[in-house]
Amino acid sequence: MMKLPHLVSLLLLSMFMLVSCSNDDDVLDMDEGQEEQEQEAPADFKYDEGFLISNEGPFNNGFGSVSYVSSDLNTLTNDIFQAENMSDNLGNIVNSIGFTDNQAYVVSNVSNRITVVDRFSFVETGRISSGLENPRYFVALNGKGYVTNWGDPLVETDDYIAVIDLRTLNVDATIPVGLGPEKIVYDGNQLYVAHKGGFGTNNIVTVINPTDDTVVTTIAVGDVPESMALDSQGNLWVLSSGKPAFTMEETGGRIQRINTASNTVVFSSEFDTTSHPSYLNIDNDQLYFFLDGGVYVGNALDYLVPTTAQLDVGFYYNMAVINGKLFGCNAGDFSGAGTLEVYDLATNALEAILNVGVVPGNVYLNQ
Amino acid sequence: MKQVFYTLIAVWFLATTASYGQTDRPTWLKEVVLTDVVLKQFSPAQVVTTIADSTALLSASRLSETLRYNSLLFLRENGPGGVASPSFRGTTAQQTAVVWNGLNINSQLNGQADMNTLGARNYDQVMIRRGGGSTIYGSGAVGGSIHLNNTMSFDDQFETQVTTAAGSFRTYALAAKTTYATQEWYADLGIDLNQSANDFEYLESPLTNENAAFSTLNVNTNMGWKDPNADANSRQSVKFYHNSFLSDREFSRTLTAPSQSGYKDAQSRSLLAYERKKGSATTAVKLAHIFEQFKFLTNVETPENYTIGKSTQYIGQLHYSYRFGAQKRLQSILEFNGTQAAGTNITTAQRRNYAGILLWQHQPGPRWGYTAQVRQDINSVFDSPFLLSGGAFYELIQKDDRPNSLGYRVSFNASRNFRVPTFNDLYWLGAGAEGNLDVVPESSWQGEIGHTLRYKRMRLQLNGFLIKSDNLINWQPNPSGIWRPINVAQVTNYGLETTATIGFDVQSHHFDAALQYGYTQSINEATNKNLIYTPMHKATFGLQHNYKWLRLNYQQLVVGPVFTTSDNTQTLDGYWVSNLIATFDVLQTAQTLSISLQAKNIFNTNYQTIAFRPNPGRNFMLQTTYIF
Repeated sequence: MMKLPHLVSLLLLSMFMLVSCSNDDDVLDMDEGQEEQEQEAPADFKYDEGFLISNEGPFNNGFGSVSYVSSDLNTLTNDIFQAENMSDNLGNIVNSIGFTDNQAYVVSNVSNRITVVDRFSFVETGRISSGLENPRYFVALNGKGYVTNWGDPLVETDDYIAVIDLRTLNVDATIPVGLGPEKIVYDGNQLYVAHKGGFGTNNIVTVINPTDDTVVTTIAVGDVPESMALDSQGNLWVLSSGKPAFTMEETGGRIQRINTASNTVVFSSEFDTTSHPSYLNIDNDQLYFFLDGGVYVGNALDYLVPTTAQLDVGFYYNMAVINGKLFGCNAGDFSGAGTLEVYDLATNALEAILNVGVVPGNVYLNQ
Repeated sequence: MKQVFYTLIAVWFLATTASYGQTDRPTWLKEVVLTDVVLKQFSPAQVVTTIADSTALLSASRLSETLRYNSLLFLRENGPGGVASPSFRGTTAQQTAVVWNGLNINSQLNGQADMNTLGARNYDQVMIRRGGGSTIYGSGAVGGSIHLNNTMSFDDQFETQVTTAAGSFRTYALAAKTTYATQEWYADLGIDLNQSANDFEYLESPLTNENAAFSTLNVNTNMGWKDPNADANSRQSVKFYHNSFLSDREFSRTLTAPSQSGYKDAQSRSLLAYERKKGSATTAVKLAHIFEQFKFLTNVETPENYTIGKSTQYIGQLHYSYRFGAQKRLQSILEFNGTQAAGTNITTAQRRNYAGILLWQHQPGPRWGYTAQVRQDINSVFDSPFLLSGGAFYELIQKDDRPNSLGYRVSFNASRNFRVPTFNDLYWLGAGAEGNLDVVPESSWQGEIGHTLRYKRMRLQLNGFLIKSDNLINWQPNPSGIWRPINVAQVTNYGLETTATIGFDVQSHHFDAALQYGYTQSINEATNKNLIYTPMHKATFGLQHNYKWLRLNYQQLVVGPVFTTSDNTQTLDGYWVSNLIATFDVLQTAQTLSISLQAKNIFNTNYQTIAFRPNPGRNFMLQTTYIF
């Protein structure tokens, strides 16, 4: 899903500026005056006890941003990086954020840059600006950061994982991998990289041993593995969207479970050819995914294919399920500010619609 | 490229030095013989501005610059030399038609014309026609149209002009054109080369404009034959026009991101026209071929990796016009257009378009006239709306020959215009996006009222316009996240435009001044917000001073702020930019040599036309033009 901005820059380059039209400009304000209710918090922990939202920013030019909302959804602050760093910016297309206990690593895709900040004060502590080419996602463990990189999106053989020494912020090693590495997950033992396929398509998960940074194996999964999540039993669930119609070899999506001890697919549930699910989340062993404007729920420990959507929400650019809440990223027309729609999944009640930045793309718990 | 550059210079000099000293000193504004006669005859109620002045056309190598400083067009330019898309009256670049010798040359892939692929020096005349013109010029003539014309003068001449230029940021230009003509034959051949490292320093920033170099090559040739036995009642001619363009451009970085990408264009357009007049009837047959190719390179270091799009058009037109006495004229045009497009994201697709056009013009008296026009297209892929246009003018106060006479004309024009879906809109197939065969043409209704006051060498124009566009094509993600174009937006544009020109002499000093100001509102009906990148205010001011061998030009551009997000929460500041050009006519005999010194952005203004893409600060260019 996160390849869209890049694609869109290309599209825009050829099509240029599209006439703008917004479909949801009349944003519901669920709690009027929420932005004024900002509470006094210790300066160093200003952005603790809440959620961070990464906003990609405008397609072609400009910069992305990060928004903060408190756990009770009452305090929303946009552009927190600019606010804490003398109006500097995070660079073009803020794709994702990775974390250690104290630091946040903000990945800017087009700028080929990772900005390191204190995750609770959002004051910049460092910057990684070499050794990255089209960086996508970041995960940290044992003092090292692992970043998926597409390389040149038109070259299928230059994709890699950059291994960063988090003390020096240097890219110390690169691990060549197959086409289009996207999301990266650590299960406490091994790293799993889903190869969504960049501008093309791919159908593998690469397993990396972080002790010697070598590829252990690759696991064949469905086409376009787009998201991954771990359940409480340590199984890795992989959601593949399937090849879209424009490839002329359309395939349906799949939800698969990988046994991380044997690194084999032990369960596979297939969608029909024209169904392309996305945005897999596991929260309290409930497994959530998005399909054609609906949010579906299954049980990760006893999975039965859900046939009806729990919620109909329209198009989300991404969604996250955290502690029983659904955070839906509504990018609107992609050229103005987007909104974050928050639902309580126990009651399906819409709790808030928050006006965040341009093209909200990921939501993270920050505490 | 560099070697090609030098080789061409050498070849040019070898080929042309033999023609030394054949003709008289040229006059810049020769008798104008346009292919596009329709432009003048059928636009009596609209503002048509001509830039035929040598200084304006020759001093800027890029057409984008010429238009920016000499018209109310707004240009979104991706940095100097980058893709530059023009728009009129708050419309989009797809709603702005670029017309080359009467042919609409907007891209079949993206619907717009990149002004930086069109060299200013290639044309004898650039005309800007505000307001709708789809009945004559087809798709895209909604906000207005830009006309690039080559003229042919059938008078004995053999001359060559060579222009060389060198400027800041390692910018070089070489243009040469040889013209040979008799009473019966005409031929010209021109080459225009431009290259620039374009690596200027961003003002108030440690960054420089990296990955921004460009080089472009234009080759033009025009040929004509005119029946030497022509008389008032019978004449015929054959004319051929050709323009080829190649470019290699890097796609510059921005303030927020570096860039490695680039693009290469290849374009070619040819037109063969036969015209025969017998008595009151004129018949013309026109055949044209237009080719465009666009390559996008993700990394200029590895040019073997690219995406590509191309299209080929074959056009045939049959014109028949008949004059009923001196006051009435009826013209019909039948057009066939067959287009094929292919590329990385378009599997080979074709479409055929047939158009029937009827134009009527009548001037019942010396004080007033009107025109009525209709057009219907039949397209193999989508349904096109019936188009019509009507306009009239009336001289409320008729200017006569007395020196203090005043002239006042009012004019009125209303039209229905369209912009058809592009091949990208219909057939795009790529990661996360696909075209939609169900999209229909955008259509618009518009009206305008104009006032023109003339007194001595003063002219004041005031125009008010209203455009209501429907079915605007907009790419949006569907519920599965696939981007598709749909006809969704409705936009209303309205505004006022004023143009004032004045000329006066103080002894042997000649002064000409022109002031243009446009106020534009462009509102998305669904959201009641302004469209992005449509300035509410734009003004240009030009002052020219001629004294014997010296010409001084001052150009002032003022552009108001624009919104950069559709919710109108982010704004890009407006700017004032000034240029100063001094031209010295060093030699004014049978040969002429002029040297021009250009200082651009003399007040070192830090400004952006697209957010986060800075423009150069103060910069200079030295240009010489030698004609023999």
